[in-house]
Amino acid sequence: MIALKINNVALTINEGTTLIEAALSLGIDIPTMCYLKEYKPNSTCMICTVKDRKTKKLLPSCAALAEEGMDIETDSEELTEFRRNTLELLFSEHVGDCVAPCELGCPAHMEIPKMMEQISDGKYADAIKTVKKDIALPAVLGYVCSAPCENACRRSSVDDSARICVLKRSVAIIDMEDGSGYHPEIKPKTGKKIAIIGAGPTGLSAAYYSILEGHAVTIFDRNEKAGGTLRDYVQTSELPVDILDSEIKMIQDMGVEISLKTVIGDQITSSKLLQKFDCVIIATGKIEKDHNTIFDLKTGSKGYQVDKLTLQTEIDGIFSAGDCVSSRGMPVQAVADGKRAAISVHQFLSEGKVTPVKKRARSRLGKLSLEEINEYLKDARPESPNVDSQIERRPAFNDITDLSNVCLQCGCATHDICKLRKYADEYDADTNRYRVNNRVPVKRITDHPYVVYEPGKCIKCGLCIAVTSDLGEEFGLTYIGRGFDVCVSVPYNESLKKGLKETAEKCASVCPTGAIFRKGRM
Amino acid sequence: MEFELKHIDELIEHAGGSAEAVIPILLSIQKQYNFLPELALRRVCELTSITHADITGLATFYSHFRLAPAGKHFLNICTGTACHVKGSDRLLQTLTSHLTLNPDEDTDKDRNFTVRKVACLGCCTLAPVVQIDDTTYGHVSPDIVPGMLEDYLINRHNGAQAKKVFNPGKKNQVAGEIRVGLGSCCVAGGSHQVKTSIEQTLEDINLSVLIKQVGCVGMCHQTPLIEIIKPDEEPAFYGNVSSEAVPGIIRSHFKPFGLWQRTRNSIISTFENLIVSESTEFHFERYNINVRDGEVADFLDRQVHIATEHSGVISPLDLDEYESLQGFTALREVLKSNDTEWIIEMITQSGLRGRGGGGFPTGKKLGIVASSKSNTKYVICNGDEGDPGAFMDRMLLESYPYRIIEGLMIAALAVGAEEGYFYIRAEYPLAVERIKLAIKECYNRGILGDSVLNTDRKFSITIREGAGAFVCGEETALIKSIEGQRGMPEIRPPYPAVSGLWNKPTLVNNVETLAMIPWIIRNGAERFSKYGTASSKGTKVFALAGKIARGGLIEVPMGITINEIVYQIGGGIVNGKQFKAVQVGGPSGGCIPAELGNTPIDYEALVEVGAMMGSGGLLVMDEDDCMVDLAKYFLSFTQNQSCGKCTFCRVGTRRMLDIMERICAGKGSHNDLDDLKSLSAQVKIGSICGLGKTAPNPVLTTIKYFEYEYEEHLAGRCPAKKCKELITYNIKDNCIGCTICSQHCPVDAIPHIPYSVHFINQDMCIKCDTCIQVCPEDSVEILS
Repeated sequence: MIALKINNVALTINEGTTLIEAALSLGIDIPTMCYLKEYKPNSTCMICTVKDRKTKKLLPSCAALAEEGMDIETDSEELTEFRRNTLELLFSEHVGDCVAPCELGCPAHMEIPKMMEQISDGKYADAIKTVKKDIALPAVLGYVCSAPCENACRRSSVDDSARICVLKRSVAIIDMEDGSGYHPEIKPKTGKKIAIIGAGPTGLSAAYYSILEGHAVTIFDRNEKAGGTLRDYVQTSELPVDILDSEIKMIQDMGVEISLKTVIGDQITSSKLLQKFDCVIIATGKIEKDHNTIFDLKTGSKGYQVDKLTLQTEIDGIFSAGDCVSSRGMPVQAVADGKRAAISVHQFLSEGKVTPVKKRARSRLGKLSLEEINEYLKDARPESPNVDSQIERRPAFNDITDLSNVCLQCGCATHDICKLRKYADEYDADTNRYRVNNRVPVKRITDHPYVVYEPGKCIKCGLCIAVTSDLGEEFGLTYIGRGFDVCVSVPYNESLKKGLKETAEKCASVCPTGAIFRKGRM
Repeated sequence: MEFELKHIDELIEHAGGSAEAVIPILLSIQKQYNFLPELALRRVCELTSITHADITGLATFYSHFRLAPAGKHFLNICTGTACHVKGSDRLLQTLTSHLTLNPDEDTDKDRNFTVRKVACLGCCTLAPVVQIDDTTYGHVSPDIVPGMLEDYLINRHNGAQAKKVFNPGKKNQVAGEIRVGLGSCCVAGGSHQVKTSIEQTLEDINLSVLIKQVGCVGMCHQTPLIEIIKPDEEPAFYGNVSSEAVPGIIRSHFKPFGLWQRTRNSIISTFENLIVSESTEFHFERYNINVRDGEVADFLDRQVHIATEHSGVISPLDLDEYESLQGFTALREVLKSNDTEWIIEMITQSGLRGRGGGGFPTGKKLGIVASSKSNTKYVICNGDEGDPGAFMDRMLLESYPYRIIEGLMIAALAVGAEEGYFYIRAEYPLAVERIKLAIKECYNRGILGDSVLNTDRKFSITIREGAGAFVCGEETALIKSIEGQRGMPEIRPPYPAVSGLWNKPTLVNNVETLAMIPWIIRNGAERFSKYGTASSKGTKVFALAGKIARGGLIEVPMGITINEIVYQIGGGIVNGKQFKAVQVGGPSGGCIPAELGNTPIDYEALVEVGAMMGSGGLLVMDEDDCMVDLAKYFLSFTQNQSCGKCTFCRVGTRRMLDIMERICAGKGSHNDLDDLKSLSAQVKIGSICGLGKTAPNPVLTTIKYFEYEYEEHLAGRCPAKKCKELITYNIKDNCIGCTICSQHCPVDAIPHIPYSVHFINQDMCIKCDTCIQVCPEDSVEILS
């Protein structure tokens, strides 16, 4: 038996135990990417490095054995800095977009690639869930959105952008056509009450996401009908009125009260509002210069002054979002802001304070060459289908499928479970720190029926190699070359299909960064 | 292909089908076909337990192997330190453009030549060096490239050099001997031709004198080297001997036999007069060893020969001679005493430390392996020397094979091992050949085998060739390589001394360390520890190169200062330039500025100034050398040699190199310099083996001592006028319009306008330096 200390806790452990196992026996989790208990440690990624205070040496805990008298620390400023640097170096050679440009370009950050895949698979019931996770009024936006996502679409350098907006509308309309429709789960009642001033896109969106959290929501609007600026699009015939009305009704059906023809300050005084409600969200739309501000809030050149990240005003419990803050006049931005306000309000109500949502770490490719685009084209529909762009409601089902198949799926399929990204967030890594201009080109190996392999995302941890060797693949995977140029590949450039006859799924499941991922993973 | 497969089958039958055999098999295939055909690899997998994954992993890890067919001839450009300093980059560029190779090509369209950058060929004194197959061209400047290639294709390759057949008839035996250096440097310098010329001359004058091939003398700056020993004369050294000069030298010492012949020869030949009058006519210099204040004396006087005992005297493969010079007496003594503790105690007392770089006490290492309990133990001689600019181990293996074998056997007896390995880089074919022959001879004479020197001890030795991976000098990687795997270092502990080759206790020692052991046993620990400093005992062999008057291999007592080496042994800087710094320890070491020239050669003292002993490369730099470029050079070496395991070494060194490249191109920023420093610190602590841990040293020491030069580069200037992106070539007004530069310019950047001051078209200029070298009026200058 060996006696040592880990984070000042003494323990005795069998000889031959690695430090990572020893730490785990104390319930201490050490970050790691290249290590899995069932395989011989490769100690390549180095993120599991810990420090022996006695010798002042840094050791990869996955491979270093516990030794008598060690005094290990698993976290410290030095180790955080070390791990951050490791991650920054790995990101410097990471070739791939964590998040697809369309999703990044969308103010509401809707998970567009996921929706596209679900549509392509005919899973409309899933697709509407994906859409409504971020957009409360998808059918409406399907008509009025300026679609910044489509501007960002990588497909546009081949032929045309994917028709994201029409597809989103279609998903919502299919949901409406279906008698039962999508009824998101509403959490148990919290007993908290939220007042929202303004029943425009921001207010409706804030109401939708607030009621999902179990809060009681009342919207006040001075007009005769809810919808705010969205009614202007009805006027210009860009938006069918029944679409607007039915999406508003859906929100009302969830339990949101809408009090129309109510002017705050006249019918209800501000002080009364504050007495009756736990929180107020001001979403009145663009404010005129001589407009009386509610609660005498401070205004700037564009509108109410709020904390840009949390949308809090200077008065505790009062939030403001949408055009009355930024006056951008973009419905999708308004909807996104409404959701953001709802998140802040929920935090405020449940935790008593609001912490800004941290931007997640992400790797970005920048401009792609034509060859690189072709890599993405490998498993997308080769040419855009000829579908009339002036469709009144939605295209036919087969056209919808065709339209969804033009998506290049250029985002990362595993961005939600990727360890590299997870730790980058945890250690606050700057993914651009050591970024170089001459990155290797994007390559995608798609010949396998179940998995796709993107070598540019590989961190050379060797787990998949261990898997294929362990399970006796005839060809399997191996390291080719050495040093910085080392890559993981099937021997003799055989096809991935030949290399991974039995082990494809297993390889995908051990890959820490989604370099090998299951098809249909989105 | 049918024939090929049959050949592969034979190879496997010969080498066996175990994992251990795979590298030797691949080396044989490569030797046969100049590359590894895929069908051959697949066949090997069919017939052995080796998997497709493993064999491709191996074939692509070691740079000696290539998977694509090569041209008819390999054209190896040495990228060692000395060659780098003397412009191998420019040479490569010229070759590439002459053969019209694209950036991703290495073979010309006619498939005549495959160009390869190779690690140090160890001919540092002939730098820059190009090797085409077996022919070595020294001092190659860009302008002679076309001629060189033509020469090779027409003369050498077609065998125009007819082999001389000598008459084995009666000759007049004369007392005395002629010693010809046959170390790799001398061979590269042309010693084989010199030897042929000696034989021819003796034939002509009808004399028979013993021609003895000796190992390296160390005076590599004078290769090829011959020494003439006559009973009644002082021995005479001749350096830089060309085969044309040989008849004159021979005739000045040995008179033709018989009056008739002597008369005829003196009439026919006027060589002797010429030699007496002016040696330059024949391009050789003459040194008399008895002249103690001469250059040779300076070169040799401060040296102490322990690892290189009998330097320049002993014939490498003559076992009788080795034994007559006390060879194997240490082994006999050890066998007789049968007291392993005594050996270990003696080595411990001597203070010997590992000469491979780390400096771990040898006695202690022996002790650990000896006390590890196991029925099977191994000893390994680490001959994977790979530092650019270091060729001590190669010279020791080539010149003193029996001594290394003896050292290995004594170490084996001390630790209780019965099996030994020599691991030698494949780039050292002569060393491999000599050790092979020496081992064979030892088996023949009963020194190796089941009964070592008629005792009940047994010992066997196997040779394993490396295949081009610097990292295999690291002991855990070396062991992996012997086991037939990719040479990836492993975290220690467990140390090889406890669990090494096939998980058995294994002693891994450097060539030079082993070469010291017989001497210590014979002469006692005290005599050894008499040399050196408090913590560094004995002697150290260095490869002295760079801007020095007399480069070569030297063995000096520890404690000698850098200044003593540079000025006394090396004869100072050439061309009266200013001594700027020495680079000690190659890519793992650091630069020591001239101001710290009093630093002694001592493990701790060198580390204190930021360098390290390393394996023994010692490069001298003058005012014309750019320290930033040098740091970049070493970093690019280690970066290229990283095995790719630890993130910091794999990606970190690459990012450091990116920064260095930016700085050398004048595109760096102060931010870059900060990043460079912090990355250096992280790479050092975040890598598990010595390669990564020391890779930042050249960068760190140059920043420490020459930060000014970095600052200058940040401002867009290269003070030494070396960094291509920061310099321009310019023709001054004193140009006489002779058009020589225009004729030699490989890219026609100088318009051919006779009798007017030439000018360089800057857009076309590739900065190959040819114009400066050919200009008779010194009219070309470099601006920065």
